[in-house]
Amino acid sequence: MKPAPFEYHRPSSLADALELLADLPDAEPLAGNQSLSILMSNRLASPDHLVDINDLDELSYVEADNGSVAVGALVRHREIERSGTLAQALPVFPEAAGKIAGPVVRNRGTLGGSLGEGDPAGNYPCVAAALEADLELASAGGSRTVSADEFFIATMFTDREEDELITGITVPRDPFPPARTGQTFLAVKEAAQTWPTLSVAGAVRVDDPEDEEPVLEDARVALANAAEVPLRVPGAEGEIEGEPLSEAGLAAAGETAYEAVNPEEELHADETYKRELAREYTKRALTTAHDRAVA
Amino acid sequence: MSVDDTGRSERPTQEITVTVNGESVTAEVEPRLKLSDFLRSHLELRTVRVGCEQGVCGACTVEFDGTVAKSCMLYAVQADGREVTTVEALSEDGNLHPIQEAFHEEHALQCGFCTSGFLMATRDLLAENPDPEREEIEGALADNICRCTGYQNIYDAVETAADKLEGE
Amino acid sequence: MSEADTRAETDAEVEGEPEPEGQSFTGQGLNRVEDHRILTGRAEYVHDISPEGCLEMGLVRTTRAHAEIRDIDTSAAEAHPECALVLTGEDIAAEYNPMPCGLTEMSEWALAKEKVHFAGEPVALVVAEDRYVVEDIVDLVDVRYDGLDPVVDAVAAREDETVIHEDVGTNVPDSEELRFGDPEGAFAAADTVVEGEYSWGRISGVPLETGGAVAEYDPDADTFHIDANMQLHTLVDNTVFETLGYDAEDVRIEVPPDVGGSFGTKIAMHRYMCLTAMASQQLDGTPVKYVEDRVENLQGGDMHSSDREYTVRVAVDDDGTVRGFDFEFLDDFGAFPRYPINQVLKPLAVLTNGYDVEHVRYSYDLVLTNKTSQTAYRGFGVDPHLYALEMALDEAARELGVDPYDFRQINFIPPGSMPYTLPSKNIYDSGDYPAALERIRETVEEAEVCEGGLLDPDVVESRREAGKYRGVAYTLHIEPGVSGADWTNRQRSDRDDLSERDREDVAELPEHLRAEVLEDGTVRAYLATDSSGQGHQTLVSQLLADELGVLPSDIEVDYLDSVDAPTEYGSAASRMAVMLSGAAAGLGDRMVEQFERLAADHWGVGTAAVTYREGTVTRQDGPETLSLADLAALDTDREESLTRASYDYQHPATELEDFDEALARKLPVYPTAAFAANAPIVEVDVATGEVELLKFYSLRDCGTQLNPVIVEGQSHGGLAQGIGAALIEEFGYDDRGQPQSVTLFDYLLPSTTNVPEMVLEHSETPSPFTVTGAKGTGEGGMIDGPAAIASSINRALEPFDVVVDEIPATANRLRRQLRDQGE
Ligand SMILES: Cc1cc2nc3c(=O)[nH]c(=O)nc-3n(C[C@H](O)[C@H](O)[C@H](O)COP(=O)(O)OP(=O)(O)OC[C@H]3O[C@@H](n4cnc5c(N)ncnc54)[C@H](O)[C@@H]3O)c2cc1C
Ligand code: FES
Ligand code: FES
Repeated sequence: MKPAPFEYHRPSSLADALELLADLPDAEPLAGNQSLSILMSNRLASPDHLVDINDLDELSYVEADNGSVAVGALVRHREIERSGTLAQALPVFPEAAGKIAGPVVRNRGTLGGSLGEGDPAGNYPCVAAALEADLELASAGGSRTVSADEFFIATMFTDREEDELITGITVPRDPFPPARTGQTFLAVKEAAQTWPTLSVAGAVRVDDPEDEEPVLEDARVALANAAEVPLRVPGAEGEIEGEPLSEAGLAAAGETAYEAVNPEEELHADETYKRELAREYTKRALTTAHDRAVA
Repeated sequence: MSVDDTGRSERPTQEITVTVNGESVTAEVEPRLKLSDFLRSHLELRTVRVGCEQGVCGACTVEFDGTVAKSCMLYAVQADGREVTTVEALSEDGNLHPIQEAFHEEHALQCGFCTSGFLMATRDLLAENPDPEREEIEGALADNICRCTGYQNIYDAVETAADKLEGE
Repeated sequence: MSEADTRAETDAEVEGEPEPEGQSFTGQGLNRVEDHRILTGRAEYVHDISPEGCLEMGLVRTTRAHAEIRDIDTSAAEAHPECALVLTGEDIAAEYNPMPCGLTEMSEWALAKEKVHFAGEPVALVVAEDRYVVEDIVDLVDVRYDGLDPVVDAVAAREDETVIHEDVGTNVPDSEELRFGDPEGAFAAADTVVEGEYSWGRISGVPLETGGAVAEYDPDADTFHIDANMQLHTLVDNTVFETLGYDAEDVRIEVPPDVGGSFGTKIAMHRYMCLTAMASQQLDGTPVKYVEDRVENLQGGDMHSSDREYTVRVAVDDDGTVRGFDFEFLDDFGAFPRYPINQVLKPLAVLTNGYDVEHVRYSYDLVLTNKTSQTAYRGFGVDPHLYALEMALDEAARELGVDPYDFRQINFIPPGSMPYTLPSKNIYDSGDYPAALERIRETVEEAEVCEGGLLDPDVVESRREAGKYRGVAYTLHIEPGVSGADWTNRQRSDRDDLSERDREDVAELPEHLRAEVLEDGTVRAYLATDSSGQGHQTLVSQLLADELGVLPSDIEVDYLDSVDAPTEYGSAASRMAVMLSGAAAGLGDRMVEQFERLAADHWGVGTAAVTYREGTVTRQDGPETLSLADLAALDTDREESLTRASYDYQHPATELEDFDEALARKLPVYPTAAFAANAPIVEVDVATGEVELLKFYSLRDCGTQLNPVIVEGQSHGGLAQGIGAALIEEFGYDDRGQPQSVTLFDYLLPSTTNVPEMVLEHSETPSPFTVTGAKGTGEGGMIDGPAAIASSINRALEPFDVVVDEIPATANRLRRQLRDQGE
C-alpha cells in the first residue's frame, strides 16, 4: 500500500495553486488526504503531481450574512463541527461533520475534499444537495458557480474540470430562518470508523412554530449512499409540504423515498434493506427536523 | 541531525526540514514517502506504528502542526517546516508521563500495538478537556482501534490520567 | 521474629500447600512487566526489525478466485534497475517443497503453481530496496490466466461439479460422523423434535499488527535465521523447515517478545517465513524482510476462520427434558485444509455445553472453496457450536412454551455430578452451573429491572411503543481449557483403528520451562513458547517468585527460539495459565533442591543440614549463608551446573485415569472447564434491524485466578471480539469469489462506539485437576459472547417469533427475518 511516485507542490496562494493546476499535466489537488491517500496507496489513483492546498488560508473561512452562508473549501470537519456561526445558521452542517469518523480524521479532512471526491455516500454532498448549495469553482481562467444538483454526476464523478479547484460553497439563508427551521443529519453506521450504510439530511420550515398545528412551508430531504449521486427526494418533500405534519404525510414521504432510491448492494446491506432504511430514515429525519422547528 | 536516503539514486527526492520532538531534522526524501514511514524507518521512532494505512486503526497517530493526525495519511514532504510530536517526547529520561503511568496502572494495554495512538489521542483530549465524561472519552477515541482490551481499561486509564494531570 | 520467618514456619508445617493469603504474588493483580518498554517505544515488534543491508519483499497476488496460470512474464520487472529478485511458483518448485497441510495427502505451494485457488493468493515475489519500489516492480509482473468456474457456495461445492484440487478428486477431503449414546433411540422416544438451521459467517482475529518476517540465510553454515511474529513457533516450525527442505535445527525461528496480537491467526505465518527465507537464500544471504499490508492481510493473509452452516435437532420431552442433540454442519475451509483443521472437532470437548444430555450425534463436512484458507481464531470452532446449540434451545423453549431460563435450568448438569464426563468423553472438572445462572439473573434483576434501570418495565414498554425492543437472556457457556496435543491429529490418523488404540500410544506434549541464576543473583527464566499480549512474562515472574521466595522483580523472563526449545505446544487453546503454573512449580522445586545441593557441597555437609529460603541458603549449624549471587559464582567452574534447571510439566490429563478413554480414542481432551454466565442487554430497532448493546453483564469463573488484572483484561478483550463477531465482523465474498472485506472499512473491528459498558463479576471454582486450581481462560468472551448476544436478541424479538439464524446478526439480516415475519 505505497503510492506510485509523484511530484509535490505546495503553493502559498490560490492564484499560484490555480496556475500549477493549469500548467501541470495530470495534477491532483491534495487537501486533508483522508480519502486521496487511500486511493493512492492502492494505486487506484496515481497522479503525476500533487498540488497541496493546505497553505491556502484564503480558503479557510466561515462567513454568514443575512442572505447566505459561505464556507471555504479548506475548512476542516472539526472546524465545521465546532463552528458557532454554522450551529446558529445551518445546524445540519456541524451535525453532519460530527458524524464523520473520529476527531483525528476530522482534524484533517476538509469540506472541499469531501465535495471534490464526489462520493455519493459522503455527508456534505448530501447536505449540499438538501440545502441547494452552490459550489464555487475557480481556475486560472476564472471562476464559476455550479449548483450541487448539477455538480454531482455519478459515483466519484463531478462537474469539476481538472484544472479547477473548489474554493467554497454558499448556501442561501432565506429558506432557513433559524426561528422557524429545524434541521438534522442522521446516519446509519455499523461502526465509528466506517462510512454510513445510509444517511439523510433533512430540513423543515414551518409558518409559525407557536401554532398548534404549524404548516410546513418548505421541506428538504436528501439521502447519501442511496444512489449514484447524493439523492434529493423532491417527491417526498412534496408529500408533506403545505400542510401540518401528519402520520399519513410521513408515511407517503417514506414510501416515495423507498421507490426513489437506486442503491448499490453491499456486504451488509442488500437493495431491499437500503430501501427500507431510506423509507424509515426519511420519516425520522423529517420528524426530527419538524420537532426542532417548533421547539 | 541529517538523514541520508541512500541507494535510491534514480528516484527524485526533495529536501525537508522538520521539527520532530523538538529537534530539527533535515532529510532527502521521495515525495511519496509517508510521514509514518519517515518517522519509523528514517528516524527510528518506533512508537509510531502502522496497522492499516487506511486511516482506520489510529496506531500511527502523531501530533502534527498542533493537532493529532494519522501519519499514514500525510506525506513526509507535507511536514517540511512544521512540527511533529510522537510518544517518544512524552517520557523524559525514561520516566513515564502521567498518561503512560495511567495506562500501565489500569492495564490498558495488552499487545501494545495500538497503545501509542491511544496515548496521543488521550493527550490531545485532555489538553482540551481536562475532565472528560465517559461519552466524551468514547468520542475522542473513536479514531483508534484496540483489538485486545475491549476499551474498558483504556477509559479507566484516561480518567486516571486526567486525575493525575489535574494533581500536577 | 520477623514476618518472613513466621511464613517459613507455616510453610514447613503445611508442606506443599500454597502460601497463605497476602504472602504470595500469584493471585495478585500485579501490573505487567511488559508495559514499560511498550509505552516508551523500546519494544521491538517484528515490523521494527531491520538488519543491516536488509531488502524488502513484496508479493504479486492474483485477483482471480479460480484460474489456470497460462504465463507469467517477469521480464519488465527484472529489467527494473532496482529489482534484486523475482521468483515464481515454478522457480521455487525447482528447489523447495510445498507447504504441508492439515491433511497428509494435501499440500500447498507458497507461490501458486499452475493454478490459482483464491483471490489474493501470491503468484510471484519481488525483492528490492524498500517497499515503495517493490510495489513499483510488483506492478510490472504480468500474469495471464485461463479462467475457471469459481467454487463459492460451500453447500453446492459438496456436489463436486467443479473440483478445486483434481488430484484429491473432491471438495470434501475430510468428514466424520460420531455417535455417542443412542441418538436414534433418543430421537425416536422424545415427545418433540425441534430443528433449526444456523449460519456462522467468516470471522477472524484480525490483530492490529499484520504479519511480518525477516529471514537471513547463512551461506557458510547453510542455515536460516527467521524473525517472525508467528504463534506456536516451537510446535508448527515444521511448516517452515520442511518446506525449505532443511532439518529443524537448521532453521532458527525467533519470535520477538512483543507481538501485536494473534488470537490464533498467526499460527499460519509460514508462507511469509518460507518466502523470505527462500529469497534470502537466492540472494546469497542478504536479509529479506516482508511486512504484510492490511489489504493483503484481509484478503489473502491466510487467517480467515470458521465459516459454517449448521442443522441442529433437539429431542425434547414435554416436561422440558432434553433427550438428545443432533449436530450436522459443514465448515467452509477455503482453498486448502491448512493446518490447523481440528477446529471442526474441538466442539466435542463441550459437546452439550452445560447440559446433561447423553445421546448425541455429531457430523461434519470439511469443504473446500475458492476462498482464503482458514486458520485458528480464539474459540477455535467452539463459538459457532455454542451459538447453534443455544439457538436451537431457544427455538425449542418457544415451541414448548417454557421460559428459556427455566428450560436451561432443567437441563443443567447438577453440581453434584462434577467431575462430569461428557458423552464425548471429555471431563468437566468443576462448576455449579445452576447457581451461576441464578446469580447473574439476580444481579441483573436487582440492578436493571427496577426504576431507573435499563429494564424498568415502564421503560421497556415505552421503548416498545417507539419500535425499540429491549431484551436480556441468561445463558451459560463452557470454555474448554488446556488442550491436549495427541488428539489434534485425529484427522491424520486411521480413525477406524482408534477404538482399539492403547492408552500407551498416546503422545502428549509437556510444557517446558527453564531458568538460570545470573551473576547478580537475578533469575532468568526461558519460555519455550511465544506471547502476543497475554502477559506471560508477568505471570511467570509471579509464579517463580513464589516458588523461589524472591520478588517478581528478581525474575527476568525471556523466550527460546525454535531450535533451543524442545517441540512444544505453546500458547494456544487456553493452555498457558495452567501449564505454566505446573511447570513453574516443578521447576521451582528442582532449583531449590539444586541450590541446597550446591551449598551443601560447598560447605561439605549433607543436604539435610542446609535450607534454602527466600533467596538464601542457610547452614543450620553455623552462621554462614549463601545468596543467589554467591551460588551463581560458586557454580561457574562446576561440571554439572546447579544454578540452571529445566522442567517439563506433563499435561494434567495424562495423570488422570478418567481421561484415558478420551486420550486413547483421540477425542478432544480439555481438562479444565471455565464458564461464564452472561446477560447482555440489547435493544433492537424493529424498523431498521439495528441492535444496540446497552450493557454486558457477565459472571466469569476460570477457577483460581493467577492474576486477576490479566484475567479481567482477557475477559474484556474476548467479549469485545465476541461483540464484533455477533454483530458486525465478516469476510464476505460475492458470487464470483471476490472478497468483499479487504479494508478495515468493510471488515469492521468493534470501535469505542460498539463496545458497551461491561459489568463483570468473577467467581472462583478451583479446578481439582490442576496444580493451582486455575483453569484455562484465553478464549472466553469470544466463545460465549456471540451466543449470548444472539439469545438476548431472541428474547427482545420474541413477539415477532424471530430466532437469530445468522452470525453476524447484522441489521439487514435481522430486518430480513422481521420482514419474513410480516413486520
Ligand atoms: C476512517 C474514515 C472514516 C470516514 N468516514 C466518513 C463518513 O462517514 N462520511 C464522510 O462523508 N466521509 C468520511 N470519510 C472521508 C472524509 O470525510 C474525508 O476527509 C473526505 O472525504 C475527503 O476530504 P479531504 O480533505 O481529506 O480530501 P482529500 O483526500 O485530500 O481529497 C479527496 C479528493 O478531492 C479532491 N479535492 C480536495 N480538495 C479539493 C478542492 N478544494 N477542490 C477540488 N478538489 C479537491 C482531491 O484531489 C481528491 O480527489 C472518512 C474518512 C476516514 C479516513
Ligand atoms: S496506520 Fe494509520 S490509521 Fe492505521
Ligand atoms: S493492546 Fe493490542 S490492539 Fe490494543
